Amino acid sequence: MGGGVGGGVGQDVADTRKRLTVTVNGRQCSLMVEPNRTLLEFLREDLGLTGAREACDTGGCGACTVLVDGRPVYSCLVLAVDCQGKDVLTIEGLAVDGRLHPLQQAFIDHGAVQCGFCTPGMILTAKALLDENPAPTDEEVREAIAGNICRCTGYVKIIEAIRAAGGTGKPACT
Amino acid sequence: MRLPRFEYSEPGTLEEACSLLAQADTKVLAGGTELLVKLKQKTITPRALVNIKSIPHLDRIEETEDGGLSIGPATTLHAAATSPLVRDRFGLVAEAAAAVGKPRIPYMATLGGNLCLDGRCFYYNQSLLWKQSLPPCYKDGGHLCHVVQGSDHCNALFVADTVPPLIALGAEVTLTGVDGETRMPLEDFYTGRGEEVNVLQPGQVLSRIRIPAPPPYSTGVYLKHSLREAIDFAVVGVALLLTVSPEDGTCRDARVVLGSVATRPLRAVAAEAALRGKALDEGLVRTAATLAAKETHPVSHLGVSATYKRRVIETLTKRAVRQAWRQAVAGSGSREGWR
Amino acid sequence: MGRLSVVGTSLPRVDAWDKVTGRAEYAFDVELPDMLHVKVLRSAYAHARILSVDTSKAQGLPGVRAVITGADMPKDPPLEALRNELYAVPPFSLATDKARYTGEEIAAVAAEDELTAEEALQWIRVEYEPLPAVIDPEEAMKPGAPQIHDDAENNIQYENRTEFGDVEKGFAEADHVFEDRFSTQLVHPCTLERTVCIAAFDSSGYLTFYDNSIDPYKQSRYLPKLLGIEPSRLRIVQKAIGSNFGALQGNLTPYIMCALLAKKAGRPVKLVYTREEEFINAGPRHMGVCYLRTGVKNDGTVTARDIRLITNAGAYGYLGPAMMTSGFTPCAGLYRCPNVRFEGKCVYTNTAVTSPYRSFGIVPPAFAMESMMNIIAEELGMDPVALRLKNITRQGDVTVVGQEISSSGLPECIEKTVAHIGWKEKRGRLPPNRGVGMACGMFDSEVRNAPFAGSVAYVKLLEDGRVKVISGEFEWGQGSRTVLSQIAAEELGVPLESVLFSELDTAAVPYALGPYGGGPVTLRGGNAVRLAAVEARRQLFAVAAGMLSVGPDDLELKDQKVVVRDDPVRALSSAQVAHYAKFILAEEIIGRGHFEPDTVMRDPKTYYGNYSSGYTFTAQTVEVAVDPETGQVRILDFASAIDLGKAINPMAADGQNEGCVGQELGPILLESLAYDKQGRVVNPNLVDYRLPTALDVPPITSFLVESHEPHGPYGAKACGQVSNIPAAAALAGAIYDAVGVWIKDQPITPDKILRALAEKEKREHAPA
Ligand SMILES: Cc1cc2nc3c(=O)[nH]c(=O)nc-3n(C[C@H](O)[C@H](O)[C@H](O)COP(=O)(O)OP(=O)(O)OC[C@H]3O[C@@H](n4cnc5c(N)ncnc54)[C@H](O)[C@@H]3O)c2cc1C
Ligand code: FES
Ligand code: FES
Repeated sequence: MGGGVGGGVGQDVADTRKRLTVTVNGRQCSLMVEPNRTLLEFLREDLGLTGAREACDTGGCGACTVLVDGRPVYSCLVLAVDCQGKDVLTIEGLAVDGRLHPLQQAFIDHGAVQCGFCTPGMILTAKALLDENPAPTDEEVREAIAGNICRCTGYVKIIEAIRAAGGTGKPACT
Repeated sequence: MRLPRFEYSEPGTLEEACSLLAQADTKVLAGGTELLVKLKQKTITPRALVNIKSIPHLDRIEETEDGGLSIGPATTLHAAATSPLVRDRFGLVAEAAAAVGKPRIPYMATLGGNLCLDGRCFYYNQSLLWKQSLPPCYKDGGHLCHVVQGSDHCNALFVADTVPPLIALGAEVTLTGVDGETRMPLEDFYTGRGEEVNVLQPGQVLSRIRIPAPPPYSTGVYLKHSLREAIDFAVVGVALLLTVSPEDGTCRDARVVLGSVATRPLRAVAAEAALRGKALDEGLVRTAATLAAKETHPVSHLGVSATYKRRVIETLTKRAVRQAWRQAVAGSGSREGWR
Repeated sequence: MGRLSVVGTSLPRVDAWDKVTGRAEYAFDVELPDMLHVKVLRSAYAHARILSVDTSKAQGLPGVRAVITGADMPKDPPLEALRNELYAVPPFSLATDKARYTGEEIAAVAAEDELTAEEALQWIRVEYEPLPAVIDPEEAMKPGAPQIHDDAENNIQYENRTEFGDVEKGFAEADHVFEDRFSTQLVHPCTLERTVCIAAFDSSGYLTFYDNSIDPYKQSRYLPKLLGIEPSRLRIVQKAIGSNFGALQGNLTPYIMCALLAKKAGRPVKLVYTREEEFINAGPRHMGVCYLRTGVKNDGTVTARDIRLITNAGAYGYLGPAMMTSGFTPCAGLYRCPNVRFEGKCVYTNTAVTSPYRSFGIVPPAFAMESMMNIIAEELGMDPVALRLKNITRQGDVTVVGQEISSSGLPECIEKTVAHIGWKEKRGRLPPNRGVGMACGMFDSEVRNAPFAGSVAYVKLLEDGRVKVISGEFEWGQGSRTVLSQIAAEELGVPLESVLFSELDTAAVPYALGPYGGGPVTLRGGNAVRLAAVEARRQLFAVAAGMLSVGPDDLELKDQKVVVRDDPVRALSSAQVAHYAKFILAEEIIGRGHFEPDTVMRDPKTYYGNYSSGYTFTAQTVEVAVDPETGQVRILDFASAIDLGKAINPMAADGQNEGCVGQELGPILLESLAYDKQGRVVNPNLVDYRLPTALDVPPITSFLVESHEPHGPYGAKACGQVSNIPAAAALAGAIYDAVGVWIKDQPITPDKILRALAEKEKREHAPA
């Protein structure tokens, strides 16, 4: 065996990069990227937006969820070059001028965060849900976030927080 | 895991795509949800990828003159699942599309990608490093199967959810290649060989999916059973298209198609024959379900025992027939027929 | 104690803002200038002699900067110095002559980027001589089984037998003797953040690691010995952690690999496990087989228990023996039965080295014992609740294994959960295929597993009136920093936002024992922080007394001011006092708190002793619906109560309770780390290894019972790892109530339920 993986930097290969123009968190950026870069790698490594997390790397956990044209996607399974002309929202783009999005505030107030590794993906998934369905039921929230694994919370407080942000939940306890 | 390097192109036309694909070791990239996992694991390392989503109009859903549907392969599963055209008259296809890696995969994956999905296997779908100590299996170009010792063929499982409903509906696919177009029933698109699941040749793209208008007085169901409520493949998927006689409510025709039970989507022909021409009653439902379970020969695979699969085939077939029957009685099937 | 204002309140976490905005920095995110990427070549065989390892081709690859193999490992490692209390040595080395599980480290590469490192692995030639492998611990003990270690006959790493009372007499007194076999499978904690280890030498040879492990202090204690570095020239730093439930506990190999590569390459290196590596290498929870005999009288009094437990250590044994003891003692202590025998065997198998995954070792025996209690109740025609209430250990008891139960709210836990579910109305009376079940559990609130079992903290009053807590207690996501900060805030009269917490740096903050979940931190660390804060307050008053020319006893703390009690216009802000202390007196206000629990280590042979200064209790009641045609179990409602002494932060405590239940539903119903006969993990990814999603976890209702533990800060004890203990037995009981079959081996899959139902039908229709 050997040589099958197809080279890293050490290898002498022609420049295969493509120009990618994409709007990220409302700002347009235009960069040369390798086609074998995933959207997740592009965001984390080229743009320094590390809020999208990598956990399973193969579409099974949702930690890498970002919104592309408003739709939640696993950014670990999307090529960066495939986002040409698209609008990407990451967790860093959610708070405006230091003011938290209601979902972010609800996650804080309801104790929906523990280790926090799933949190950005959860919040963005919830945002896509609330944008379409501002007052979801418990079951609708579960359906929507079922593609995001959380290992810490048992989902109870996450669901509470999302429903509260949607105006259909209980107020946070104090 | 990083993706290996590959050449990448975004053709503007089908012809261009086909000529790119005719070159050695080139693969179609659609939603990428299957392909990119395999690339990361280095299960395959193609030289080049051709992104067909750049081809205009390949993601359209249109009504055809004969009352059927024509769907472009780059249509996302989400679009297929939510399109009124699909939902209203081909509900079983919408159900199946929404169930693919529910709830997130449908936003990314395409219908064409689902139709072209490769067989899955605990030994084949592993990383190159994982496979270091294994002699190559049939699917990797070797001469043995790790799942069924002594088997003379590859047992990779056919798991694509949207295929059983489409076959039940009698869907056709168009393959476009450098030498032109071929049309065939979707059922014939599959080889039954785990090594090479479908008949696609290098240089070919699955370019269109056509579903004929459902027969009058027909109603369809797709039921998927998986071990987890989300992010999961089917243990068994059962699609059923049931056509009843409006006069006496007997079953005029039934098409039962099973997924995740073999190396290809499987018609449960014995169950179909048992139903055809008979008056529907609970006894018949049970007979058909038992036959469906008996006529399949699942192997224990991907953590699920063959016995369990059989039980689920039986249960789902029973439930599918009951449900379709109920829908038929309520007149909620094909609109054309019940008008 | 006056009224509490911060402690006992559901305040948001101190790190929540960073986490919801994506700013939180995890080890995964740490990038150092000039850093190389590490990939590890792992054994392709579960058991094989390694005849040769040739790395020359890999070394020559462009972009590769360093390669190591077993030959680079420390010579004459100081094994004695590495042994833990139960005489086991942590894994620390790449394989040299033999590989004992698929995934064992054979060589490692540091390269300019990940892809190059990964490719380099393909160029390393390893010549193996495959040997037969054994995965199941019971198989491994049989004569003729493959011998994994030369010095372990029948592959037994550790065995022990201990007896209390007179077990045979106890069985003789019993009216019924029940006997059964229960088992649990290998499962993986699957933290979302994968294992990360970064090693960097500075120009003077000072070595810094960044990691996300569960016990950086143990690592920082052992690593210098192995690396030949002076202890003062090595530190481990931790950032936010993407949770940690116990995987890889104590494992030193990633650090050794990274340190050696960093040294060889002269550049920092970063190792991030792939998800596959997590599954094949990063310690799963052991599997357990439990043969259990229980004697009971007609009235339900338990008279004797005989427990035989077999667990797998994995290919190397480290914490296996400790997990065995830790599993046994709380199980023995839960009921008053005076006659208990325990026989445990921890067995080598050709699997990853097992590690404690939440509630250190107790899940296998607890599943057996609580399931059997439910079976006994059924056979005796008793209500499982009544059977529990008849036998449970009560506050004030000294248990058969020596635990002093200084607080217990178990009866209230039971009452709360059964009332929530509607037990009386529902048990045996639900429509077909619906059922209810319940079970109880007990666990240590902390544990003396080493001569030092305490905690040390410093609390500093800063010149702007803010408070800084300096403690080595860990934050893996469970909320310990929030709780400890609340305690400091309470004692120094500041709002929670005014408390800062030190970064975890083993060279800068006091040694802490750590790895015992969300509770021990509260009990031990909480006591230490509280003592430190009280001392800081004393110093604050002393300085203020001088400034105000009054006695310290004349002062009180109000609204962040030190006020003369009888003359409240005379007051100084805490900030003023702290500023004066620091810049004028040159005596910063720093309180030191040292807490040492009044406990003993369990006797290594008999396991007797009061090893924890408090014990946490739990009860759970659950309602399910079972589909008899697919075997699928749907949980309709789940009530879980924990007696945590006092909830310092009820919202966080509920989060621990709910999260622990939600997590354990995976091992109970869905998960199994599936090894094939050759010892390969066939489902090493998060699609085929099925973790519970939001659609798999039911609504969970959490109850917190406050029994007030006299040894805990404000009466608090542990709450982070108890709610997974009874869950499996409660569910198995509910499934029995629903469809009439007991499932005794986890996971409780639909397949097993259907098989059991088919057998039941056969039995019932068999001619008599
Ligand atoms: C977490 C997870 C869960 C999943 N669950 C399910 C599930 O429940 N059910 C299920 O069926 N699948 C599931 N999948 C597999 C896969 O995501 C789907 O089958 C999906 O529909 C594939 O579509 P795609 O567009 O992403 O295909 P791609 O990955 O882009 O392509 C798949 C294959 O088809 C070829 N191909 C794609 N389009 C064409 C075309 N038009 N012409 C010729 N060849 C083409 C590609 O070259 C490739 O070989 C899951 C995947 C993941 C990661
Ligand atoms: S990291 Fe992308 S889905 Fe898990
Ligand atoms: S908070 Fe830890 S994974 Fe969700």
